[in-house]
Amino acid sequence: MSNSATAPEASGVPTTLMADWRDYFALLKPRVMTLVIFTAACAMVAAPGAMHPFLAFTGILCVAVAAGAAGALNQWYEADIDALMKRTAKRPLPAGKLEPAQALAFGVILGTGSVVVMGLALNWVAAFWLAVSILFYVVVYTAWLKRRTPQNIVIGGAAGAFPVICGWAAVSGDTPLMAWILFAIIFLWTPPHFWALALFIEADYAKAGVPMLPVTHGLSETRRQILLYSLLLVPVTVAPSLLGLAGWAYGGTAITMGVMFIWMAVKVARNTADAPAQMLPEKQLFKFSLLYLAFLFGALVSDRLLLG
Amino acid sequence: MNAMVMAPEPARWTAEEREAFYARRESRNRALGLVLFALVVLFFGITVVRMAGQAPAVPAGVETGAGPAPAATP
Repeated sequence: MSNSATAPEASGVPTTLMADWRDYFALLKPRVMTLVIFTAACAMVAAPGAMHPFLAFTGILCVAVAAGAAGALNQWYEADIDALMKRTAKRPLPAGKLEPAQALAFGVILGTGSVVVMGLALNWVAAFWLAVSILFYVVVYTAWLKRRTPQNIVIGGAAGAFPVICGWAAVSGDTPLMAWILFAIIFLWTPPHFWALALFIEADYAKAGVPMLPVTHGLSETRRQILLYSLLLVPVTVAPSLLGLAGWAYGGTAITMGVMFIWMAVKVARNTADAPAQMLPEKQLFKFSLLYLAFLFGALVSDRLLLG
Repeated sequence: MNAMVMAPEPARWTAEEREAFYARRESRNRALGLVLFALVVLFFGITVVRMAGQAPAVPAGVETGAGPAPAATP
C-alpha cells in the first residue's frame, strides 16, 4: 500500500501525529490477509454442516482480523529488519509513521477481540485454534525461529495453514483428518512458494541478516529443497480423493495442477542462474504457486457444492 | 507510547502543519467511528441469529393446529 499520502509535508510536526487510518490498515498486511480469507472460507464451505450466512461472515471476519493482528504484531517485532529491506522499508513503523507501542496495542486489541468474538459467536474450538494461529505466528515464527534457522519458512508455513483449521472448526466444531490434510497442503505449499520468491530477492534478506535458505545454504540447495517439498506436496493434495474424503473433480484438478507444479519445480532445480534477471523459472513458479492453491481450493469447494 | 512525542503542540506549528494535523486526526476519527458502528451492527446481527437459533420449541399442536382438537364443549 502506498503511504505517500501520509508523509508529513512539514518538518515541525512529529511524523507519528500525522498517521492516518491507512497506516493502521497497512499494519494488517492486507495482501497476506486475502490468502488467509480465501483458504479459511473454502474450508468453511468444504466442512460438513450448515451455518447461518451471517455467522459464516462473522467467522471469516474473525479469521481475517486475527491474521491482521498477527501481521501488526509481526511488524511491531520486526521494525528493525523491515527498515533494512527495500521491500519493507516503507511500512508504517520503519517509516516512523506510527509508534511501536501503537502497533503493539493495535495488534493485541485486534487479536484478543477476534478470538473472543469467534468464541462467543461460533464456538470455542475455532476460537482456540485462532488464538494458537496468532501466537504461533508471533511467538514461534517471528520472535523465536525466523532469525535463528533457515527453516523459518517451513515453520511459517504452519502459521499460514492454521486458518483452514479455524474455518473448518467454525462450521463443524471439530478438526477431523480432512481439516489436517488441508493444513498439510498449505504447510507443504509454503516453502516452494516463498523460496521461489526468496531466490530472486535473496540480496534483500542477506542485507537484513535474516537466515533465509538462499542466504545460508546457497541457491542450488534452495532449488533442491523446492523440488523436494513439491514432490511431497502433490501426493498430499491427492490424498483426499484417495481416502474418499473428496470427489474426483477435486482429485483430477489436484493431479493435473500437481504435475504442472512438479514440472515447474524441476525447471527451477535445473536452473543455475545467479542473477535475478535470469531467474525466469523461479518467477514462473512463484506466480503459478498462487494460481495452484487457488485452483486446488476452488476445486475442493466445487466438488462439495456440485457433488455434495 | 512516548507522551513527550505524542503531545500535540499546535500553537508552535505553522498554519499548514496545523491544518494537516487536524485533517489526519479527523480521518482517523472518522475511520474509528465507522469501525465502532460496524461492531454495533455485527454484535446486533450475532445476537439476533443466535437467539433465533435458540428459540424454544413451540408446543405441538399450537402453531399448526394439526394436533388433537380441543374437546368440544356442549
